[in-house]
Amino acid sequence: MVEPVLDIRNLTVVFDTPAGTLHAVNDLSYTLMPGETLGIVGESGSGKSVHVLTMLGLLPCPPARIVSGEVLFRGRDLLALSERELCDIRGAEIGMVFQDPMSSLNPVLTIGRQLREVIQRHAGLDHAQASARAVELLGLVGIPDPAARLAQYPHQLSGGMRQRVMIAIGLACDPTLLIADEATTALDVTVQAQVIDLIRDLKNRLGTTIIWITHDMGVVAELADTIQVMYAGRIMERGPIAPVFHQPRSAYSWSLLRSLPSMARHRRLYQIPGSPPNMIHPPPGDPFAPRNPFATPRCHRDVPPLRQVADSVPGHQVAAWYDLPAAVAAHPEIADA
Amino acid sequence: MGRFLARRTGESLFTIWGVVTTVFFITRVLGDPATLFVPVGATDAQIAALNHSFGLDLPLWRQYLHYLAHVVRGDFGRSFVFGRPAIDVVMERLPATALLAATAMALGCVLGCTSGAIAAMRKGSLGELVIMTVALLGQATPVFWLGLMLILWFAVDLHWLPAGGYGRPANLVLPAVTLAVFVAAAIARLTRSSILDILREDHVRTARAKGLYPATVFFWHIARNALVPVTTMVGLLGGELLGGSVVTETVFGWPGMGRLTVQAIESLDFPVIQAAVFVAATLVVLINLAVDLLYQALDPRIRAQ
Repeated sequence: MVEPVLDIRNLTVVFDTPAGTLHAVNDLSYTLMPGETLGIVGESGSGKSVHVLTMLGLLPCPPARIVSGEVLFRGRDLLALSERELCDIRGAEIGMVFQDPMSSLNPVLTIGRQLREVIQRHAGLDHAQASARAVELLGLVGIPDPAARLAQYPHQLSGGMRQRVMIAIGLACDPTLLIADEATTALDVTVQAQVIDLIRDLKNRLGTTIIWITHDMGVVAELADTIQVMYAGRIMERGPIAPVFHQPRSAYSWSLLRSLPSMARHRRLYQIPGSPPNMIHPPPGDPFAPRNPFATPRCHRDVPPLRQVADSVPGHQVAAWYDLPAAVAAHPEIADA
Repeated sequence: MGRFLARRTGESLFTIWGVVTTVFFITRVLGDPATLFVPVGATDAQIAALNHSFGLDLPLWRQYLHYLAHVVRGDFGRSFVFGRPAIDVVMERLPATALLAATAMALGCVLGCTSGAIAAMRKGSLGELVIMTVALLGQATPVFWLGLMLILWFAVDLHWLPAGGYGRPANLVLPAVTLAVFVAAAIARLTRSSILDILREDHVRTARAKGLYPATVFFWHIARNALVPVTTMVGLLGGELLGGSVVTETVFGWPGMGRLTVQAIESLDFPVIQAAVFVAATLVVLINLAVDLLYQALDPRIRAQ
């Protein structure tokens, strides 16, 4: 049997704030198989970024606090490692690409220095070898004239080029897992499309396992094998792209999909009523229940577990007490609204 | 780069001309030096003769042109008091001032940067509270009082160090520490806030996500960026110190430019005042130029503009 690259078990992360304890990630569990591309979608505050920053030890603790859970990366619990051991994994076995490449690159250091330092740190190459590898990486991510770029500073590159540099840094040490956190959010659409093509191409060539965090369903549809919809620090629905997009089982993913503009249907975009829950005082049951037109009394009372939707669609899981297709059929007025 | 240097050199010359002109006219309203040099009861003729020998009997505009023509050649005239070229009198005092300024600056930078960095990296700790309290006190304490207190403790009570004088390394300790406290306090506060700003930036998270050693992250991705505003502060303070720290030099009897300038003002020694102000202004301008160049080396975004 193939071992998962990442196996997150019952991860719970809170922030201790002056106003109270903020429940950022709640009992999160999922696995990621080698070569899989997982797209995690959710709005701000859904815990999608927090849980990856937590497992890499990149969140300041305090205010963040890991209450419980394990994050097994190739069998080792990342949460049990010392900062020193985590340092050896970060950048080497797990590469990260952040949002907004302008602020995520150091403005006063050259591109070459920022690439070389990660290569030299983990691969033990000397300056010349690291430079050669840096040129190779910049070529790999499609930057023209890569050798000349080494001496340039981030402000001398365009947004798209900067994001390619970020990706090159993430890939510098041939990581097993690449995590991209809103990596295309700050880019305009055409550049975004180029970056997505690049990632798809790299994925096919290098076989890297990828976690792609975004709030853009469209990006996930183009890039991911598996989609995981998160809300209020929980997984609402998870599964292969096609079934989740075509037959969503969670009212939250259904709402998100209905709020996407479509070329085929000319109608008003769906607007999810209400606002994201206050995570200091989260609702008792299903966190989406207060905004869910199909919510049952039980939704307001008990937290639904993540369960298999049907044996016919392996891997499609949902956390819901209601049966969405039946509920939509019973309330056509909501579905058509 | 060449254009930048040319522009900055032009600006610097203009600044120095402005200072030289201002000090010329200000000294003229200070008073009549001849009255200080002639014995009580001297005749008008004697005073007029003295004024003539100083060149003070000419119309003001002619004095000014004459003065400018000589300043360009580095000639500020002979000191009324010392009877030697004023610029020589000033330049003789420069090494003492430079030594004191450099020592205080070095000490203040090391102390200020280290304690500021510790305060920022240990934000919320008792250490931060102690450092920031001491820094605030250091900035609020008048230099003359601190100097006197240091003399009282280390010279009068403990007999560890001389209370004043010049020539031996021991003489340097108390005045340098006095000035360094002020410098360190200012730098520590700025370093702390500057590092705290940088810590919030995304690129620090990127550096940590690369698995770089904490020391690499600190020196290359935090301190390196935080240094930019600190450099400006060091330049400003450096200019201030090189102009001569009047109070410290007076308290410790340090034969520097600051004390010389005060003495020259008291005795209305116009040429020395003018020469001293000229030298101080030039030093400040040069330091600013150096800071500008350093700034460009530290932050490539400024180079681009």
